[in-house]
Amino acid sequence: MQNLLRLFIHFTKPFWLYHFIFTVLGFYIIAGGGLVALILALPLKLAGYLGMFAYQTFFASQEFFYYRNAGVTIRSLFMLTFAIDMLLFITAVTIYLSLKSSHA
Amino acid sequence: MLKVDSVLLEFDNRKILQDIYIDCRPGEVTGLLGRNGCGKSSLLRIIFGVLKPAYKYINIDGNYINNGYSSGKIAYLPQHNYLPKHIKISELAKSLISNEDWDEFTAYDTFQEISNKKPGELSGGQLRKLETLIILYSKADYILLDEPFTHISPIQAEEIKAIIKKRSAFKGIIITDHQYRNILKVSDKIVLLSNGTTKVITSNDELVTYGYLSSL
Repeated sequence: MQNLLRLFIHFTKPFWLYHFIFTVLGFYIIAGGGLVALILALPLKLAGYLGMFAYQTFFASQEFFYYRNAGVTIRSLFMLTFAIDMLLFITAVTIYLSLKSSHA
Repeated sequence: MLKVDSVLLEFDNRKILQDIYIDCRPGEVTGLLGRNGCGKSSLLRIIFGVLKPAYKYINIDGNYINNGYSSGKIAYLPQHNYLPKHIKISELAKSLISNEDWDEFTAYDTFQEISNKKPGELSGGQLRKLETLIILYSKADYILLDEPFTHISPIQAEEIKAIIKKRSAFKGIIITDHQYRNILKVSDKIVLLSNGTTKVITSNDELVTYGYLSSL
């Protein structure tokens, strides 16, 4: 588990800022339009994932061998990355919207 | 023991590999020789699990292996550099090296001199040597080395050969390279890949007979 966490950090590190920017943009859309704006924010996040996937696949696929040599499949690393990022995004949005409604 | 049998690989209806048998046991180095484009790298990639052939049968100690790398028992040194360039080498090594071998691995000058650097900061030879060392000290029982002597100096090749022999005491190693003298020197057994099939070579003269060398 510790090794998987380390590999996950290595795999995602170059994209932390990239995902943060997409998260802020998604957050900005929801802050302006409320829960309904999720219809726009979610595709934006998905586009961000697609961008990361395409970059890794076309420009850094040789590095996949490092992770495979650690016994981890690339599919599972991508799935884990996207799942954790989406979970953080949904959690942040939920907290923001509940704080907003409690102050209203 | 790692056994690879009945591999069938085709591209555009052209059979690249068709009658393959190769095995390797811990304590043994198997050298794989063959001309350019004969399918050596493809065979190693099939064993590792990143290339899907039309058919294959791979087992380790009698257990069928569908995907070499996810079994955790096979590690592979690809032809091109594979270490992520943005992470410190000491961090990268931790994920691949077994705990019991960590002290021995970190004692190498190759590691100590560059452990705080990132792969992108190393020369081609330094990086290739480090990558080979990491794979040889990985947790896997079977090691596939694709051109470990390419891009390194003769003195580095000598060092790598000594480490391969040392590590082969615990691991089964399949190695291929165009520097055939290094392969002959380091291997316990030679397999020639020719016309898509494997042939076990019992004397170096056969390399001439089968057209791999023009003379010894």
